[in-house]
Amino acid sequence: MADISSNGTTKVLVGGHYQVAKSIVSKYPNSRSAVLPLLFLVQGIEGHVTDQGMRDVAGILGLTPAEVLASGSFYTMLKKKPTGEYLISVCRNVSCAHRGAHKVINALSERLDIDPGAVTADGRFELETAECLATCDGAPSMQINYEDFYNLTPESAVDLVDRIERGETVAGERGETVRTQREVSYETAVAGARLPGTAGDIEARTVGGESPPEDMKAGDRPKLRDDEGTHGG
Amino acid sequence: MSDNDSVTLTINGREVAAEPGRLLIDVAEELGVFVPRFCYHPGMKPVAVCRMCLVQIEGQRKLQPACSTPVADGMVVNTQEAGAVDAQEGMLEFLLINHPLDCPICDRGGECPLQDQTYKHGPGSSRYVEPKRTYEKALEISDLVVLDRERCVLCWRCVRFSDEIAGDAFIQLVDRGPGTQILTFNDEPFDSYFSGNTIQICPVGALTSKPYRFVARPWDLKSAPSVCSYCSVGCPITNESRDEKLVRCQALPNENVNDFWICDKGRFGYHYVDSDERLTAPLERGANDEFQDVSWDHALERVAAKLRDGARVGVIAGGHLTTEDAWAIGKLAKNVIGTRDVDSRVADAGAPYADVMISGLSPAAGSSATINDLATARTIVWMGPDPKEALPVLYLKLRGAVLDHNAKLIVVSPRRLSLDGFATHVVRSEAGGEARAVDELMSSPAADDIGDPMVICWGPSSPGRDDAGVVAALGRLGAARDAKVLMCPPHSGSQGLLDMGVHPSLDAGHETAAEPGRDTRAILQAAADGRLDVLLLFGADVIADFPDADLAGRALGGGAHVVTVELFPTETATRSDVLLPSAAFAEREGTFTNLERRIQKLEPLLEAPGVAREPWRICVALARLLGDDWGWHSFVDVWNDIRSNVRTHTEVDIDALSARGPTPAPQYESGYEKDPSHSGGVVAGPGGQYPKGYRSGTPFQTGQNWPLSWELRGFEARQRPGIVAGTPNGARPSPSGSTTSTGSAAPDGESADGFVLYAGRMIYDEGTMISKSTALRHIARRPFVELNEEDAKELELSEGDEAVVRANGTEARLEVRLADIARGAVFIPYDQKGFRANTLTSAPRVTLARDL
Repeated sequence: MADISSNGTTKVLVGGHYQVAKSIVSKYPNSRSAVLPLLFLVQGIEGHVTDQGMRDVAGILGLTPAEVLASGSFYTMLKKKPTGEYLISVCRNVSCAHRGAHKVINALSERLDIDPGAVTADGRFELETAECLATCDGAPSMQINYEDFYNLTPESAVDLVDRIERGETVAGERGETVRTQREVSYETAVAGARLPGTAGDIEARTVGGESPPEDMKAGDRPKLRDDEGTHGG
Repeated sequence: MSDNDSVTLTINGREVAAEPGRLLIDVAEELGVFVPRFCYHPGMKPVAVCRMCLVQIEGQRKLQPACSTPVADGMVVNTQEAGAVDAQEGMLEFLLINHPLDCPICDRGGECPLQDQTYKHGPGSSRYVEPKRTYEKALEISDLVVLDRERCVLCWRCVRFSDEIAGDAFIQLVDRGPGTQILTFNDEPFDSYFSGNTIQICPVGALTSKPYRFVARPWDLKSAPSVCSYCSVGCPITNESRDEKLVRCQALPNENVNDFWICDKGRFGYHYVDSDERLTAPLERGANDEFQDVSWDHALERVAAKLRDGARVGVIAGGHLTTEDAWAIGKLAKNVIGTRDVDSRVADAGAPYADVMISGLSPAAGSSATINDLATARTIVWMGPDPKEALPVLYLKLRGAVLDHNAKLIVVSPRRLSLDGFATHVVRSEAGGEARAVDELMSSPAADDIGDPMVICWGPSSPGRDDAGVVAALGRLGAARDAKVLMCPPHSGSQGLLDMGVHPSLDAGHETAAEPGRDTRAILQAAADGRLDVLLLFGADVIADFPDADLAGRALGGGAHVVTVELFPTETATRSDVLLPSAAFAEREGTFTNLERRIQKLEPLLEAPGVAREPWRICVALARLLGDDWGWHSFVDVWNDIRSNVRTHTEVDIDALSARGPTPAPQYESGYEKDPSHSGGVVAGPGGQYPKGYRSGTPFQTGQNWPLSWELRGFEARQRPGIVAGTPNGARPSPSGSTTSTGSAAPDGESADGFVLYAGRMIYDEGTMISKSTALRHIARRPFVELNEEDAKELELSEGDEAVVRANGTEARLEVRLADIARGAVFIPYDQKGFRANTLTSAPRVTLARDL
C-alpha cells in the first residue's frame, strides 16, 4: 500500500482535498483501485484532469504518472483539456437522428456560437455530439452534465441554455438538479467514500456506491449472496 | 496416454509429448512449427492482445491464441488449417492499415518481425485505401530512445517489460480505441536504466535507438557474441560493427545470467572502443618529459630492463581484464618477477573477498550460489551495493525472485536502496553498524522469514563500511544453516582476477599463499615512500579509482618507474613512464568470469587500433625477455596452461564455451503447477559452432534459423550458457592464514567526530570507459551528498543547499539531498560530473558545514 501518511509534494490535492483523497484511498483494499475516483477529485477541483493533478494522484498511490495517464486517458468523462462548466451532449444515433437530433444540434450550435466539440468563449458551455445515451424512448434526447432531457425540440433545448445562463435551477428528466462539471466530478469522486459531512443527497444520488466490508483485503472477491452465482438452478 | 509429467498432443498431424502447463506456442516452436506472433515474448507473461497466433484446436468453436493456451492431453492443433491462415492474413491486413510502409528508411527494416511475417503470412495486398493514422515523427522520449508512434502495432511488449520486468512503468498505452498510442507522461522522459530492452523487443520500428538510428542496415553489420565489459553480472551481448566501427550492442539470452535483458550502460556504453583517444602505440617518457611513440620491442626491453636484477616491483590490475590476462599477470608477477605484491582490488581496495572463504560462507573466494539460486531461495539477504546502480541486471533477477517466486528479501543498509520498494524486510542499520545489524537479524522481525534455502548476497559497497566485520557476521548467520553466498565484486573481470590469484594472499585456484604480499594500499604506500623500483599497472587508473586519490598521486610521484597498460591516456597513465596500449573487449578472444564464477567467452570482432595488444601478450613478451618463454601464442595456449595449473579450472572445456546450448526457457508459463527444476526443452535442430563474425541472416532467408532470432535481431536463438568454474576442495584456510589489510576506512567508534562516509557507484558516472561513450557520457549527474533530515536540521542545511564536505584536509562543495539514511551517515556517489569521490573517501569520516 502506498504511503499516504504525509502529503509531501502534492500540489493540487492539498489540505482538505488531501484528506478527502486519503478517505477515498482508505476505502479500497488495493490502493491503486482509487485511481479513477482520485482523477475525478482532481477534475472536481481543477475543472479538468491536469498534469499536476495526475502527478499528485501518482504520488499518493505509488504509481508512475504514466500509469495514471494510461488509466485517465481511457475514459472520456475524464477531461484532459479545460472543459465547459456545462457539457451538453446531444445524441446523434439512429432513434434521435430520426426524430430531429440534427436540428437540436444546429440550434444549440447557433445559440452558443460554437461548433460541436468546442467550448464557449466564456467557458460556460461545451457542446458535443454523443453516441447512444440509452434513452431512445425520449428521442431526441440529450444530457447536460449527464442529467437527461427527453423529447427535445430546437426551441426547448435553447430554452434550457437560456435558463442556465440566467442562473435558474434546471432539473433533468428524473428531477435531479443540473450541477456544474466540477460539482458532478466531485460527487463522482466521493460517491461511496462516506465522508463525514457528506451532504445527504449525494449519498441518495449514489448508485452502487457501497463501501467494501471493513475486513476486505487486496485480492478478496465479494462473497456471493445465496441467490447469486447460479444460472437456472 | 500420459502421466502427470507429460501430456501428448498433436500439432499439424505430428504427435508430441510436452510438460503440462507449457504454452502451445512454445511447444509448437520446439517441434519446428512456427506460429506467427507479435505480443508474445518468452521472457514475459503472455497477454494475447495481438491475435496473430490464432490456431485451430479440434473441439473448440473459435480459434485460440497459442501464446496463452496451455497444452492439454489429447489436444489436436492445426496451425495451417484454412481458418487459422485466414485469421493470420486478416490480422496482418488490419495491422498494415495504419502501419506505414516506410521500411526503406526504418532501422528495423531487414530484421523486422512485422516485415518478415507479412512476407510469410500476409495476404499480399490490402483492400484499405483510406489515409493512415499519423503522429508527430521521431519523438525523443529519452536520451536514448526514439518513438515513432505510427509504426506501433500495440503489442504492449514495451509496456509489459517496463512494468513486469524493470518495474519502471514509464511507458504506457494512452487513450483508447483507434487513438490508442504508446506514450510517456508528457514531459517526463523514459528514464529507465533498462529502456534499451524495449528497443530490442519492439516487433516493429516504433522504438529505435538514438545512437544507432540511421547508422547501419542489418545486412551491413558484422557481429560477434561477447560479454559486457562493465559490471560483474557478465551479461552476454552481441557486438555489431559496420565499417570496422562498433555501432551496436544487444542482449544475447542466457537463462542462467540475464534471461533476455541487459542494462542501458551495457547496451549504449560501447563507444569507448572506437574513441579517438585510444592509445594506439607504446609511449615512452622522453628526455624533455614528453611522450614519444616507440616500438613494442623498444618499450618492452626498457620495461624488462627495469624489472631485472632484483627490482622491487608492485603489480596492480584493474577490474576489467579477462581471465587470461589475470592468469598471465599473476604468473608474470609471482613466477617470473618473483613478487607477491600483486592485487586486483582498486576501487574495491581492501575488500575482504578471501574472508568469504575463511568465514565458511563459500569454499572459494567467490560465490557458492548461482544467480538462478535467487529464484528458488526462500530467503535472500542483501548486503551489497545498490544493485540497480552497480549490478543492474542482478537487480532484475532479485526483483523477479521476490515478485514472481516469493523469495523473502531482507535488505540491511544504512540508506535506502532500490530494493526497498519490494523487499520483505528493510533493516536500516546505524551508521557503521551493519555487522551488528546482521548479528541481530535472528532476534528481529525478519527472523520469521529466515529459512532455507538461503542465499546471502555480499559485495563491497562502500569505504565507510567495515566489510571484514560484515562478512564475519554473515558467516555466523550462514553457519547456522545451509546458506549459500553470492559474492558480488564490482567489475567484469574482478572474479576472474581472484580466481587466477591476482591477490596478495590468494594463489590461483583459491589456494592461500604461505606468505601474503602487499595489497593495493600497501603497494601504493611503498611506492609513495620510495620503497618500490617498478610499479606495473594493468588497466588500473589508481588516481581515479583507488579510494585515496592523494596516496595514489604520491605513489606515482614516489620515484618508482611506472608502467601502465591502458586503453586510454588516463590521469594515471599520463603520469607513467611507459604506456602500453591495450586491446579492448570487442577486439579480443577471451573470457570474463562473472560474479557467480561463470566463465563466458568474448569473440573478436574488430582489429585493435594501431599496435594495441592484449595484456596477456604483453606479459608473455615481458616473461620471454626476462628469460621465461611460456610458449603461448593463442587463447587456447593460455587455457592449456590454466587447465593444467589451476585446480578449479581443470575441467573447463573451452570449446564448450563457444558451443550453442538450448534455446532459453520461457520465463512464464500458464499458471499450472510447475516443476521448479524445469529448465526448458532442448531444441532438436542443426548443431555445431556459433557462427563467428557474421550474421546469420533473417529467419526466412536462410530457412534454418529459428524465428526466435527476432528477439536477438538475426542471431540464432541458442544460448551460450558458459561454464561455472569449479570450487577447490580440501580443508578451508584458517583465519590466521589471511592478512589482507582492511584498509584504513573502518569506522572507529561512536565518539569520533563527523559523519560516517558511505560512497557508492551510480550507473552513469565519469568512469574511464563510460566517459568516452558518446551516448552516455552526458547523462552523468551532478554530484550530491545524501543526509538525514534531522542531521540536516542541526547543520541548518536543507534540500538543494550546497554543503562543504571536508575530510583529511580536502573539501568538496556538494548539493544536499535529504534522504532515508541513518543518522550520522552521509552518502556520496563516485565520479559524478566534475567530482571525484576518492578525494574524500580516504577518511572514514567527513564533516559537513553550510557553504558560507
